[in-house]
Amino acid sequence: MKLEEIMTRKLESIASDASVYEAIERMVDKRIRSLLVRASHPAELDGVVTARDVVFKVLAKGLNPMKIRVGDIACRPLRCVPKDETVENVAALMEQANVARVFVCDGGTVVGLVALMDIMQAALIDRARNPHA
Amino acid sequence: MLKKFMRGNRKEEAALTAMHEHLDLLCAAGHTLTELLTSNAKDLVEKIFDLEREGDTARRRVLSIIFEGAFLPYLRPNLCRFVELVDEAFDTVEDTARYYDLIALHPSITEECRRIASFNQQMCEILILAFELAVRGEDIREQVLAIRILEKRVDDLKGDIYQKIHEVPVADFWQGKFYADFLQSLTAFSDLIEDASDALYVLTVSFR
Repeated sequence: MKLEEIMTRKLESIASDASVYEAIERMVDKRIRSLLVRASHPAELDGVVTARDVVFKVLAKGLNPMKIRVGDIACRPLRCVPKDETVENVAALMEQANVARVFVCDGGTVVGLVALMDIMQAALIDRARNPHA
Repeated sequence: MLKKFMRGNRKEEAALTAMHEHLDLLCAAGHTLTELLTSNAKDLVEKIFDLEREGDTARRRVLSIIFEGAFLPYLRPNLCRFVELVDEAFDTVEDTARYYDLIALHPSITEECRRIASFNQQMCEILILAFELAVRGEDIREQVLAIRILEKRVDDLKGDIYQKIHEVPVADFWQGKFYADFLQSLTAFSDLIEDASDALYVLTVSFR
Protein backbone atom coordinates (compact mmCIF):
# COMPACT_ATOMS: atom_id res chain seq x y z
CA MET A 1 0.00 0.00 0.00
CA LYS A 2 1.27 3.46 -0.91
CA LEU A 3 1.86 6.10 1.72
CA GLU A 4 -0.23 8.51 -0.32
CA GLU A 5 -3.27 6.27 0.14
CA ILE A 6 -3.11 6.21 3.92
CA MET A 7 -1.83 9.64 4.85
CA THR A 8 -3.98 12.42 6.26
CA ARG A 9 -3.92 15.31 3.83
CA LYS A 10 -5.80 17.78 5.94
CA LEU A 11 -3.15 19.27 8.18
CA GLU A 12 -3.94 21.54 11.07
CA SER A 13 -1.24 24.08 11.70
CA ILE A 14 -0.53 26.94 14.08
CA ALA A 15 1.97 29.79 13.98
CA SER A 16 4.94 29.36 16.29
CA ASP A 17 4.17 32.74 17.91
CA ALA A 18 0.74 31.55 19.07
CA SER A 19 0.36 30.56 22.71
CA VAL A 20 0.24 26.99 23.93
CA TYR A 21 -3.31 27.72 25.10
CA GLU A 22 -4.35 28.49 21.51
CA ALA A 23 -2.79 25.19 20.46
CA ILE A 24 -4.76 23.39 23.18
CA GLU A 25 -7.98 25.08 22.00
CA ARG A 26 -7.30 24.00 18.42
CA MET A 27 -6.56 20.39 19.43
CA VAL A 28 -9.71 20.19 21.54
CA ASP A 29 -11.89 21.78 18.83
CA LYS A 30 -10.60 19.51 16.07
CA ARG A 31 -10.20 16.45 18.29
CA ILE A 32 -6.62 15.91 17.22
CA ARG A 33 -3.45 15.20 19.12
CA SER A 34 -0.88 17.21 17.20
CA LEU A 35 -0.42 20.41 15.24
CA LEU A 36 2.09 21.43 12.65
CA VAL A 37 3.89 24.49 14.00
CA ARG A 38 4.66 26.93 11.19
CA ALA A 39 7.73 29.07 11.80
CA SER A 40 6.82 32.73 12.38
CA HIS A 41 10.40 33.90 11.92
CA PRO A 42 12.93 33.13 9.18
CA ALA A 43 15.44 31.85 11.72
CA GLU A 44 12.99 29.27 13.02
CA LEU A 45 12.17 25.85 11.57
CA ASP A 46 8.74 24.28 11.24
CA GLY A 47 7.98 21.81 14.00
CA VAL A 48 5.26 19.73 15.57
CA VAL A 49 3.53 20.06 18.90
CA THR A 50 1.64 17.16 20.42
CA ALA A 51 -0.64 16.71 23.40
CA ARG A 52 2.30 14.97 25.02
CA ASP A 53 4.44 18.13 24.69
CA VAL A 54 1.64 20.26 26.11
CA VAL A 55 1.16 18.00 29.13
CA PHE A 56 4.79 17.19 29.95
CA LYS A 57 6.41 20.52 29.10
CA VAL A 58 3.73 22.93 30.31
CA LEU A 59 0.73 21.64 32.27
CA ALA A 60 2.48 19.05 34.42
CA LYS A 61 5.08 21.65 35.38
CA GLY A 62 2.42 24.08 36.50
CA LEU A 63 3.34 26.64 33.83
CA ASN A 64 0.77 29.03 32.35
CA PRO A 65 -0.09 27.86 28.80
CA MET A 66 -1.21 31.38 27.89
CA LYS A 67 2.26 32.77 28.50
CA ILE A 68 4.29 30.23 26.58
CA ARG A 69 4.83 30.33 22.81
CA VAL A 70 3.92 27.10 21.10
CA GLY A 71 7.17 27.47 19.14
CA ASP A 72 9.08 27.10 22.40
CA ILE A 73 7.79 23.62 23.13
CA ALA A 74 7.53 22.31 19.54
CA CYS A 75 9.70 19.40 18.45
CA ARG A 76 12.08 20.16 15.60
CA PRO A 77 13.04 19.33 12.97
CA LEU A 78 10.00 17.70 11.39
CA ARG A 79 10.48 14.05 10.63
CA CYS A 80 9.72 13.93 6.93
CA VAL A 81 9.42 10.98 4.57
CA PRO A 82 8.95 11.11 0.80
CA LYS A 83 5.47 10.24 -0.42
CA ASP A 84 6.70 7.20 -2.35
CA GLU A 85 8.16 5.64 0.81
CA THR A 86 6.81 2.23 1.75
CA VAL A 87 4.55 1.78 4.76
CA GLU A 88 7.00 -0.82 6.17
CA ASN A 89 9.90 1.64 6.08
CA VAL A 90 7.83 4.34 7.71
CA ALA A 91 6.80 1.94 10.49
CA ALA A 92 10.48 1.03 11.01
CA LEU A 93 11.43 4.72 11.16
CA MET A 94 8.70 5.44 13.70
CA GLU A 95 9.85 2.55 15.87
CA GLN A 96 13.50 3.61 15.63
CA ALA A 97 12.74 7.26 16.43
CA ASN A 98 10.05 6.36 18.97
CA VAL A 99 7.55 8.77 17.40
CA ALA A 100 3.84 8.33 16.75
CA ARG A 101 3.67 10.38 13.54
CA VAL A 102 5.80 11.47 10.61
CA PHE A 103 5.15 14.08 7.96
CA VAL A 104 4.99 13.29 4.29
CA CYS A 105 6.93 15.81 2.24
CA ASP A 106 7.12 16.52 -1.44
CA GLY A 107 9.97 18.77 -2.53
CA GLY A 108 10.26 20.51 0.82
CA THR A 109 6.51 21.00 1.23
CA VAL A 110 4.57 19.08 3.85
CA VAL A 111 1.71 17.33 2.02
CA GLY A 112 0.46 14.90 4.63
CA LEU A 113 0.79 13.19 7.96
CA VAL A 114 1.02 9.51 8.78
CA ALA A 115 0.23 8.42 12.31
CA LEU A 116 0.53 5.03 13.99
CA MET A 117 -3.22 4.53 13.62
CA ASP A 118 -2.91 4.97 9.84
CA ILE A 119 -0.14 2.36 9.74
CA MET A 120 -2.21 -0.03 11.84
CA GLN A 121 -5.25 0.40 9.60
CA ALA A 122 -3.14 -0.04 6.45
CA ALA A 123 -1.74 -3.28 7.87
CA LEU A 124 -5.24 -4.53 8.71
CA ILE A 125 -6.51 -3.75 5.21
CA ASP A 126 -3.49 -5.52 3.77
CA ARG A 127 -4.14 -8.60 5.91
CA ALA A 128 -7.79 -8.64 4.85
CA ARG A 129 -6.81 -8.49 1.20
CA ASN A 130 -4.26 -11.29 1.53
CA PRO A 131 -5.90 -13.70 3.97
CA HIS A 132 -3.56 -16.62 3.32
CA ALA A 133 -0.32 -14.67 3.01
CA MET B 1 -19.62 -23.16 4.88
CA LEU B 2 -22.50 -22.12 2.69
CA LYS B 3 -21.90 -25.30 0.75
CA LYS B 4 -22.39 -27.28 3.97
CA PHE B 5 -25.98 -26.08 3.95
CA MET B 6 -26.65 -27.26 0.44
CA ARG B 7 -29.16 -30.06 0.24
CA GLY B 8 -27.51 -32.14 -2.39
CA ASN B 9 -28.90 -30.48 -5.48
CA ARG B 10 -27.37 -28.01 -7.84
CA LYS B 11 -29.62 -25.06 -6.99
CA GLU B 12 -27.37 -23.79 -4.21
CA GLU B 13 -24.33 -24.07 -6.44
CA ALA B 14 -26.11 -22.06 -9.13
CA ALA B 15 -27.24 -19.42 -6.62
CA LEU B 16 -23.70 -18.99 -5.27
CA THR B 17 -22.29 -18.71 -8.78
CA ALA B 18 -24.87 -16.06 -9.67
CA MET B 19 -24.14 -14.17 -6.43
CA HIS B 20 -20.44 -14.18 -7.27
CA GLU B 21 -21.22 -12.94 -10.74
CA HIS B 22 -23.36 -10.16 -9.24
CA LEU B 23 -20.45 -9.10 -7.03
CA ASP B 24 -17.98 -9.28 -9.93
CA LEU B 25 -20.21 -6.99 -11.97
CA LEU B 26 -20.46 -4.55 -9.04
CA CYS B 27 -16.69 -4.52 -8.76
CA ALA B 28 -16.34 -3.91 -12.50
CA ALA B 29 -18.79 -1.01 -12.24
CA GLY B 30 -16.85 0.41 -9.27
CA HIS B 31 -13.62 0.14 -11.23
CA THR B 32 -15.20 1.86 -14.22
CA LEU B 33 -16.47 4.67 -11.97
CA THR B 34 -12.97 5.25 -10.60
CA GLU B 35 -11.70 5.35 -14.19
CA LEU B 36 -14.48 7.76 -15.14
CA LEU B 37 -13.63 10.16 -12.32
CA THR B 38 -9.93 9.96 -13.15
CA SER B 39 -10.04 10.19 -16.92
CA ASN B 40 -13.31 12.11 -17.33
CA ALA B 41 -14.03 9.88 -20.35
CA LYS B 42 -17.81 10.30 -20.37
CA ASP B 43 -18.35 7.28 -22.64
CA LEU B 44 -17.69 5.18 -19.52
CA VAL B 45 -21.06 6.33 -18.16
CA GLU B 46 -22.81 4.10 -20.70
CA LYS B 47 -20.55 1.20 -19.74
CA ILE B 48 -21.65 1.59 -16.11
CA PHE B 49 -25.32 1.62 -17.18
CA ASP B 50 -24.74 -1.62 -19.11
CA LEU B 51 -23.04 -3.23 -16.13
CA GLU B 52 -25.94 -2.21 -13.90
CA ARG B 53 -28.42 -3.84 -16.29
CA GLU B 54 -26.33 -7.02 -16.27
CA GLY B 55 -26.23 -6.78 -12.47
CA ASP B 56 -30.02 -6.59 -12.36
CA THR B 57 -30.24 -9.74 -14.42
CA ALA B 58 -27.81 -11.51 -12.08
CA ARG B 59 -29.82 -10.37 -9.04
CA ARG B 60 -33.08 -11.65 -10.53
CA ARG B 61 -31.41 -14.96 -11.30
CA VAL B 62 -30.14 -15.33 -7.71
CA LEU B 63 -33.51 -14.46 -6.21
CA SER B 64 -35.44 -16.78 -8.50
CA ILE B 65 -33.08 -19.67 -7.72
CA ILE B 66 -33.51 -19.00 -3.99
CA PHE B 67 -37.32 -18.83 -4.34
CA GLU B 68 -37.25 -22.07 -6.30
CA GLY B 69 -35.96 -23.68 -3.12
CA ALA B 70 -32.22 -23.23 -2.89
CA PHE B 71 -30.85 -23.28 0.68
CA LEU B 72 -32.66 -24.07 3.89
CA PRO B 73 -35.64 -21.74 4.52
CA TYR B 74 -34.10 -20.02 7.57
CA LEU B 75 -31.11 -18.90 5.49
CA ARG B 76 -33.11 -17.41 2.66
CA PRO B 77 -34.07 -14.02 4.20
CA ASN B 78 -30.46 -13.20 5.09
CA LEU B 79 -29.20 -14.33 1.71
CA CYS B 80 -31.83 -12.21 -0.02
CA ARG B 81 -30.94 -9.25 2.19
CA PHE B 82 -27.27 -9.59 1.20
CA VAL B 83 -28.20 -9.70 -2.49
CA GLU B 84 -30.51 -6.68 -2.16
CA LEU B 85 -27.82 -4.64 -0.38
CA VAL B 86 -25.33 -5.45 -3.14
CA ASP B 87 -27.95 -4.39 -5.66
CA GLU B 88 -28.61 -1.11 -3.83
CA ALA B 89 -24.87 -0.44 -3.93
CA PHE B 90 -25.04 -1.12 -7.68
CA ASP B 91 -27.80 1.48 -8.01
CA THR B 92 -25.66 4.08 -6.26
CA VAL B 93 -22.81 3.48 -8.72
CA GLU B 94 -25.26 3.98 -11.58
CA ASP B 95 -26.66 7.16 -9.97
CA THR B 96 -23.16 8.51 -9.33
CA ALA B 97 -22.25 8.03 -13.00
CA ARG B 98 -25.55 9.58 -14.12
CA TYR B 99 -25.11 12.71 -11.99
CA TYR B 100 -21.42 12.98 -12.83
CA ASP B 101 -22.44 13.19 -16.46
CA LEU B 102 -24.63 16.19 -15.62
CA ILE B 103 -22.14 18.22 -13.61
CA ALA B 104 -18.66 19.64 -14.05
CA LEU B 105 -16.76 18.48 -10.99
CA HIS B 106 -15.13 21.44 -9.25
CA PRO B 107 -11.31 21.14 -8.84
CA SER B 108 -11.53 21.86 -5.10
CA ILE B 109 -13.30 18.55 -4.44
CA THR B 110 -12.08 16.43 -7.37
CA GLU B 111 -9.29 14.74 -5.43
CA GLU B 112 -11.59 13.78 -2.55
CA CYS B 113 -14.18 12.34 -4.96
CA ARG B 114 -11.53 10.27 -6.73
CA ARG B 115 -10.24 8.96 -3.44
CA ILE B 116 -13.76 8.00 -2.37
CA ALA B 117 -14.27 6.14 -5.65
CA SER B 118 -10.98 4.34 -5.10
CA PHE B 119 -11.92 3.37 -1.51
CA ASN B 120 -15.32 2.18 -2.77
CA GLN B 121 -13.57 -0.03 -5.27
CA GLN B 122 -11.26 -1.46 -2.60
CA MET B 123 -14.25 -2.18 -0.35
CA CYS B 124 -15.92 -4.01 -3.19
CA GLU B 125 -12.83 -6.15 -3.83
CA ILE B 126 -12.66 -7.04 -0.13
CA LEU B 127 -16.38 -7.91 -0.12
CA ILE B 128 -15.83 -10.39 -2.96
CA LEU B 129 -12.96 -11.90 -1.02
CA ALA B 130 -15.15 -12.12 2.10
CA PHE B 131 -17.88 -13.84 0.06
CA GLU B 132 -15.39 -16.39 -1.29
CA LEU B 133 -14.06 -17.08 2.20
CA ALA B 134 -17.59 -17.39 3.61
CA VAL B 135 -18.48 -19.93 0.91
CA ARG B 136 -15.41 -21.95 1.90
CA GLY B 137 -16.37 -21.71 5.57
CA GLU B 138 -13.50 -19.47 6.60
CA ASP B 139 -13.63 -16.57 9.04
CA ILE B 140 -14.39 -13.18 7.46
CA ARG B 141 -13.79 -11.06 10.55
CA GLU B 142 -10.69 -9.39 9.13
CA GLN B 143 -12.45 -8.50 5.89
CA VAL B 144 -15.40 -7.01 7.79
CA LEU B 145 -13.01 -4.89 9.87
CA ALA B 146 -11.10 -3.72 6.77
CA ILE B 147 -14.39 -2.68 5.16
CA ARG B 148 -15.31 -0.78 8.31
CA ILE B 149 -11.95 1.05 8.29
CA LEU B 150 -12.40 2.04 4.65
CA GLU B 151 -15.96 3.18 5.32
CA LYS B 152 -14.68 5.44 8.07
CA ARG B 153 -12.19 6.94 5.62
CA VAL B 154 -14.96 7.62 3.13
CA ASP B 155 -16.92 9.28 5.95
CA ASP B 156 -13.92 11.50 6.77
CA LEU B 157 -13.58 12.50 3.12
CA LYS B 158 -17.31 13.21 2.99
CA GLY B 159 -16.85 15.58 5.93
CA ASP B 160 -13.97 17.30 4.12
CA ILE B 161 -16.09 17.73 1.00
CA TYR B 162 -19.01 19.16 2.96
CA GLN B 163 -16.69 21.72 4.51
CA LYS B 164 -15.61 22.86 1.06
CA ILE B 165 -18.86 22.48 -0.83
CA HIS B 166 -20.11 25.98 -0.15
CA GLU B 167 -17.16 27.30 -2.20
CA VAL B 168 -18.37 25.42 -5.28
CA PRO B 169 -20.32 27.74 -7.54
CA VAL B 170 -23.59 26.42 -8.94
CA ALA B 171 -25.41 28.00 -11.86
CA ASP B 172 -28.99 27.17 -10.87
CA PHE B 173 -31.17 24.96 -8.69
CA TRP B 174 -30.81 21.89 -10.88
CA GLN B 175 -27.04 22.18 -11.05
CA GLY B 176 -26.97 22.31 -7.24
CA LYS B 177 -29.36 19.38 -6.96
CA PHE B 178 -27.31 17.22 -9.32
CA TYR B 179 -24.19 18.10 -7.36
CA ALA B 180 -25.83 17.14 -4.08
CA ASP B 181 -27.22 13.92 -5.58
CA PHE B 182 -23.83 13.06 -7.06
CA LEU B 183 -22.13 13.42 -3.66
CA GLN B 184 -24.96 11.59 -1.90
CA SER B 185 -24.73 8.55 -4.16
CA LEU B 186 -20.91 8.54 -4.24
CA THR B 187 -20.76 8.41 -0.47
CA ALA B 188 -23.75 6.08 0.07
CA PHE B 189 -21.96 3.19 -1.65
CA SER B 190 -19.59 2.58 1.26
CA ASP B 191 -22.47 2.40 3.77
CA LEU B 192 -24.22 -0.23 1.68
CA ILE B 193 -21.06 -2.31 1.26
CA GLU B 194 -20.53 -2.13 5.00
CA ASP B 195 -24.12 -3.28 5.57
CA ALA B 196 -23.64 -6.09 3.03
CA SER B 197 -20.46 -7.25 4.78
CA ASP B 198 -22.31 -7.21 8.12
CA ALA B 199 -25.14 -9.25 6.60
CA LEU B 200 -22.60 -11.74 5.27
CA TYR B 201 -20.94 -11.91 8.68
CA VAL B 202 -24.30 -12.62 10.33
CA LEU B 203 -24.80 -15.45 7.84
CA THR B 204 -21.41 -16.97 8.64
CA VAL B 205 -22.06 -16.65 12.38
CA SER B 206 -25.40 -18.40 12.03
CA PHE B 207 -23.60 -21.38 10.48
CA ARG B 208 -21.44 -21.97 13.56
